[in-house]
Amino acid sequence: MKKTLKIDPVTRIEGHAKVFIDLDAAGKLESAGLVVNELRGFEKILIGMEADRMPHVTARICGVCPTAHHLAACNALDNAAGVAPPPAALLLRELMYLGHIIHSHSLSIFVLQGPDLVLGLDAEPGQRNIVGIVAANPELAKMALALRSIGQRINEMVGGRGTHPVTSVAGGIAFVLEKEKHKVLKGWVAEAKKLLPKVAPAVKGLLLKALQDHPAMAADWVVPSWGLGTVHEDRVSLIQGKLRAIDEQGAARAEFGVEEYHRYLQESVVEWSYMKKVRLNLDGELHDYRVGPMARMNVARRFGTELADAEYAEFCRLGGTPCHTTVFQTYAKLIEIIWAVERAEEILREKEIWGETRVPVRFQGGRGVGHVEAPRGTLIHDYQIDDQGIVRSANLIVATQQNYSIINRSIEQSAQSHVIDRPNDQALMNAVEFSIRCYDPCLSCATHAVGRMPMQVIIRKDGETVRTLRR
Amino acid sequence: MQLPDRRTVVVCIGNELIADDAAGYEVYQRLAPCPARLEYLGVGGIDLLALLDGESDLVVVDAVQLGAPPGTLHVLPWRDIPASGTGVSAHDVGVREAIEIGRILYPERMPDRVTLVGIEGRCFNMTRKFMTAEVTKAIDGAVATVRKLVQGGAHGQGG
Repeated sequence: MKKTLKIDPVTRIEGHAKVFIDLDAAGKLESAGLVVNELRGFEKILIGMEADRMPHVTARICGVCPTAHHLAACNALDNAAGVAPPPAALLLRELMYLGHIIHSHSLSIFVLQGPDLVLGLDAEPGQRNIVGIVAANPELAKMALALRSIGQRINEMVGGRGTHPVTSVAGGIAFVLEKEKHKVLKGWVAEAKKLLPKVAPAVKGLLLKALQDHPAMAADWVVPSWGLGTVHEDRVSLIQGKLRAIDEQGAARAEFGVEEYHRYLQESVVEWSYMKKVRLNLDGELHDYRVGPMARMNVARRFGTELADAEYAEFCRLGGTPCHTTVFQTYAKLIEIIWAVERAEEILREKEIWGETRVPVRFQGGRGVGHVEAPRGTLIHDYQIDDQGIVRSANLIVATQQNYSIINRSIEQSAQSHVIDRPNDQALMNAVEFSIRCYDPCLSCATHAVGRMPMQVIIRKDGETVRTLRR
Repeated sequence: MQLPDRRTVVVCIGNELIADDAAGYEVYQRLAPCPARLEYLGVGGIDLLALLDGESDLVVVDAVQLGAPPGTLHVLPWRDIPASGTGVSAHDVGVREAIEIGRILYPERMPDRVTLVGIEGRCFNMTRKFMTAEVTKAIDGAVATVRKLVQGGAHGQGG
């Protein structure tokens, strides 16, 4: 007697997905996983285009993390052309990016994960939406939306355009900062900083309450795994630095420049999904690993700013070092928001920000690899460019692919503690979806075809459908 | 010169690059000059709130999928605007959700009357040039409808 539960699609993640949970005759878990059935094929679309256009075209891969693609492409082109952008360009790119991180994480915590935190996992699905969260906690919602909007405005002013930025180019950035804009930016960052002392304890309070209400979150939903993140000047860094891999205990096992990624990161096909999973290949062994906010702090263990480092110490006290507790992803995002605000403040104080912003670029033909830490984790762009400046091949590795193995293990665990032997189908579905959303998978980036299915849960026994649930 | 009508704001929503979703953008292009404040949003959702400034009337123009033949024009008062998924918007925040959130957070800026002018679309997975012929034909009608809503008469009786 076999039972299969399917959750289809998981709502409130980017792209579309369904989840299967296979139980054996005794009701024990056999396997579980996230099935991704969309295909985008962006890597093929890029072939034959002018390399110069990559920052603008690849930003369109996603409306959620466009700035990550925009800047990963610029880093790859800088490397392909063998140029180093001037310091002012790097600062402005980083500032644009910090705005993006503030915007993206605010949305992720408050809108995408908010219902789980504010309303709990067992709330009626009808309430588990943004209107429900806002009604439950209007003051927090107001502050969260204000933070999100500040992030968006910074990203827009530096990036030159609302959602999909355009200013960063191969060799630097296509404008010089004006005094007037600097003043406005400073004002926005100061506004964001004022919100932090109110937002941070509120989010932390919700998280601790969720842990209290669902002890399995802290006790069982723990996925020890390797981690990968970017380190620069011995701290967390988003758009420049080396990649560092750590093992389950947190020991550094490899550090490499992104141009060497193919030696360490191995892509492989999963038979039941269109998404390729990526594992770390070290000493002849393959290791599942995690990327994203929690992995970044597990790897670097330092932000280099006052408030973020203080909050990180608290994170370590509650979640351990390295932390492998899935739900702490939310806390990690909160700390990155704090850091992003402080770091933006630092950047705006740098004298170098007033300098020249661009060096000339000519593609002699060759390969260019670049990366950034996207909100959800390490994002790599790899282009082969000919001597006319035309892209001949492209490879993109996105965060969700790298988190894929860990996401599947998290689903197994929440199924184990929250699904099996529990008659409450609603709580079951909420729990599994929650553990997926902690990784905030961005399936539209991670995949390549077409088609979606209506949302349904299918329960099968002995291969026969005994029940179908729909939301 | 006629002063702009401060009582009404018209917000046109839709991705200008995507087939039938561009309907809102096309209406926006053809509405100017408009006696009411005219705004455009690429993607709907919560960003709608930032555009509201205490007007008494809001007219939202967007492509919708309500199951009618493509090109059908829907003029829906608030009570008939369905929950999420009617317009194309991220994260389950449709016109109804956005306004409900706004009424909780920023009641002073929310309109008293909300009308959705929805253009039924069919094709949302192709580029702009694949706009359905019926939708293309419906644009002028939508523009005329919005003008009528803006010029007095506004939302009719009990909207």
